[in-house]
Amino acid sequence: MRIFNKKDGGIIQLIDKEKMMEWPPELPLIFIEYIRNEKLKNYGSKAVQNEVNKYLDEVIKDVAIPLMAQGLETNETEKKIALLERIEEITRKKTDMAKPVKPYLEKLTNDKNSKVKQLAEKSLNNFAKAAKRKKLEEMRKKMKQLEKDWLADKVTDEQYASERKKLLKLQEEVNA
Amino acid sequence: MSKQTKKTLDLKAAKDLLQKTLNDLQDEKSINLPEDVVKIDNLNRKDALNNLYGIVNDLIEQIQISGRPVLEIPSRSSKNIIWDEENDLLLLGKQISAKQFHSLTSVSDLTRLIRILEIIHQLLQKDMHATKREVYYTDVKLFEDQSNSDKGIEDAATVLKTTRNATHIVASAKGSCIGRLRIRDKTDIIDLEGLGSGGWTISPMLDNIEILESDAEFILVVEKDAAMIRLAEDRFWRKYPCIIVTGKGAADIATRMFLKQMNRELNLPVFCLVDSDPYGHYIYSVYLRGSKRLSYESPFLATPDMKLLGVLSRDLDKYKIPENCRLTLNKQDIKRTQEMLKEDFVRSNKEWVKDLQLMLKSKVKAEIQALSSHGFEFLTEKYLPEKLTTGDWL
Repeated sequence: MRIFNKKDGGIIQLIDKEKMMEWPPELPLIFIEYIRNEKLKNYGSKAVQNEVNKYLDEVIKDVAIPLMAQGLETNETEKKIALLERIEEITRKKTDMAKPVKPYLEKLTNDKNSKVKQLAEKSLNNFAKAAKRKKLEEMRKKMKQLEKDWLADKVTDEQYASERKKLLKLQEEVNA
Repeated sequence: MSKQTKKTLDLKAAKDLLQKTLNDLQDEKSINLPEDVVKIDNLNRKDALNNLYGIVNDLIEQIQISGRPVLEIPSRSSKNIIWDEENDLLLLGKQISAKQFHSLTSVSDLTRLIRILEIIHQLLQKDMHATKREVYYTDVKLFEDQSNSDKGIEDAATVLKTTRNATHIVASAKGSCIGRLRIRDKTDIIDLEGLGSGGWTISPMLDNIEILESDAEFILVVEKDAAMIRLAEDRFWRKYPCIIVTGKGAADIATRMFLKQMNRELNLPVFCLVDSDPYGHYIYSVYLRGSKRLSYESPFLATPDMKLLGVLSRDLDKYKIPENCRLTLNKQDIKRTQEMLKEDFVRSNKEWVKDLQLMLKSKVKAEIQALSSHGFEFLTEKYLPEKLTTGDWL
């Protein structure tokens, strides 16, 4: 186990990277996501949290990505499809977690197997949607300010209408 | 209860023990067992299958050469059980019982054993598990009684030089675990803090279980489910970071093996809370050094550095347990205590001897629940924190 010492004399122990190399390819990412979302905030000081985060980054680099890449490059189509289905789920729910495998997915959009191709495209589409959602959030914030400025006659009707149109268009794309 | 006892104590002694355990990790060595004992491994599926094929090949060879095959099985009689002082474990000596296929006295036992090996082969090949009861029902006519199939299962494990669990024949789930621990069961992540008051039922299929994360500082083993319920209801692990385990009485293999797994991987101090009676002390001794019946598996089942936290005989006066909560030792209790005092592994621990002698002298016993005569929260808010802070354990 990897041991992290807390200031109060307590400890946090996380499974070693070496052991994770035996795991199903998608599991390291799920584990990292679990620790970051559910446990990290309970670890006390920022210093320990940073240390654990650093270790989890190492896990992504040394375990999660190589395992996923290995899984996506296999010739066993059934295994590849099962892994792609899990990746599609992750890209839908927690897009950021799957970012490191994006280049491998791009390669698979040319795969001969239609199911593999379809799942890779679906996952990439999830990335695109997530990017649009992020942009929409930013635009909404910007619009709030713009509305205030418009009411205060600091921007013209045309400027406001143009920005509003862009927002509505993006909103439609995200909801499509 | 006074406000004084409701504050969180720092569990100084337990923390010191944790630091010592972690420091000792630097120079930890693997267990070196003596030469004159049966050495077994907790084999993976592939290696267990290879051992099985080795036995079958050997038997075929004997049939071809002499036509009178013999299977050598390590003897599990009490005379062949050795206490290894250095590692503090009960182990199986090297006495062999040679079972001959052409002898009428051993042919039924051997036929059953070969049938068990056949079942183990199926289970390992399919990567499935079966309970002892299921094994018995695969061939009721042959086994006649479950005690025969159970004996065959234990013989098969010793012949294969592996643990019972590695044969994929398991006992039904019994023990449970709760607290600051996260594990993996195949692809599922299980948080032992988030399973309600009942906790996680320890899976007998431990080859599927992996420890993922823990921020516990010690492990507390409790004899009874009633004590577990008290600790669970008070969410004891939230205030004092720990993992709580119970075998619900005498612990089954899975509970002891899982405790050993935690002890080996997490290197946390382990404390035991049992009734202050000879049976409680016996349960502690089985966790500590293994049972005589399964002595060949002791290195994978025993937790030799476990501390007896309570309830000690001396605690009855110290914590003012009322007379009406104390029970008189019966004849069997006295006999069992006297027998325990004869055991080498007990005699080597002077403090333990002293406590058992005090039990004999006072002729009284008490259950963990007797502590609740001071209030239901006494166990979690006064007794355990105080003992863990002061280092009052054996």
